[in-house]
Amino acid sequence: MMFAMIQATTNFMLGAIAVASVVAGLFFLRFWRRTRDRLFLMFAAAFWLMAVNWAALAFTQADEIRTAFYVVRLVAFVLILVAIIDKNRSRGGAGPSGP
Amino acid sequence: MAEAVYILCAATSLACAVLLLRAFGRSRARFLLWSGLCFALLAVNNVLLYFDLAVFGDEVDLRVLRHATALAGLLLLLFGLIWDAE
Amino acid sequence: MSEGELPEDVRGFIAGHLTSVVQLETLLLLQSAPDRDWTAADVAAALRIDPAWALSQLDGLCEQRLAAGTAEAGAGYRFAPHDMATRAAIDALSKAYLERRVTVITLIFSQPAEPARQEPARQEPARTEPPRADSVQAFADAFRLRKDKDTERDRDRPHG
Repeated sequence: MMFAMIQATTNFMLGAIAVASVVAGLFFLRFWRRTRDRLFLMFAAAFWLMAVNWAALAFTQADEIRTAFYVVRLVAFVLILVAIIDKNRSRGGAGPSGP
Repeated sequence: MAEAVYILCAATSLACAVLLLRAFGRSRARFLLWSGLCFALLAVNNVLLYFDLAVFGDEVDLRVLRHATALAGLLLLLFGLIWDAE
Repeated sequence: MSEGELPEDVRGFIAGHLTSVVQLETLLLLQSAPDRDWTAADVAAALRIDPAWALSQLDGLCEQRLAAGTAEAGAGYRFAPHDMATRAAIDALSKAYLERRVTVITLIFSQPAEPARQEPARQEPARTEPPRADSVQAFADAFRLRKDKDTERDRDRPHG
């Protein structure tokens, strides 16, 4: 019974986290449209990837550490790293950047 | 392999949190506060994943705590996006 | 007229680049004859401003990668936006400035002044970035590790 409660709580939280991540990604996409700054596009993709990760966890009822889902997480955070590196590489002095 | 990934993700999140919170300290743009806190909590989430995988055994399940940190972080980010981001 | 009528890329460009009307007019002057090399004296004559101030405007535009050039004898500055999106935004901005001059000017002046101007007595060596009305831009700028861009903000104010 305790286990069922934990499962229910977990599923609820995962659902909430997934939707929040999708919405956050949408905001970042909007910021990319406004500023044309590639950083926002990459952040949007990263948050959407994390949403996939969390949604998949809810649907497979798996514990993340017992799965290979860390690959999705890895890609998402590597995207963020790439965004930061990209921002610092050739755009030291300007405002909005990126085609 | 997974351990290394969680550590990397924790470090990246922490870096984002530091950059955003430092920028908040300079500019007082509140959106930076919320997004910085979000990444701080995501860093905690990744650290907990590492601990759950590599340090604690089967008798300890940090799952609910892990999800709580991620949820809290994302809710803060959403709040900041909706309320403060211009 | 409300600022909401201006296109998003124009508003974003103003928020990210412009702090004064003189700066805007210098940029649009360069844009009006993009194949021409403008010296500070040319700009000063066209805009009826002090040549030293014109020079600081031109240098400021260079630092923002909107113009390229040098003040060395005989050479000039030229319109050189660093990518197509910026060029398009400036085109839209020049159109907006023709049609909705007051709205554009109002938007420029609605950007907050830098804290360095408001608190001259404070010793704040760590303070290198002005607060922005645009927190979205502030988010992107937070990830920039080299903060040497911000001397351009100092150049836009007239000295003396």
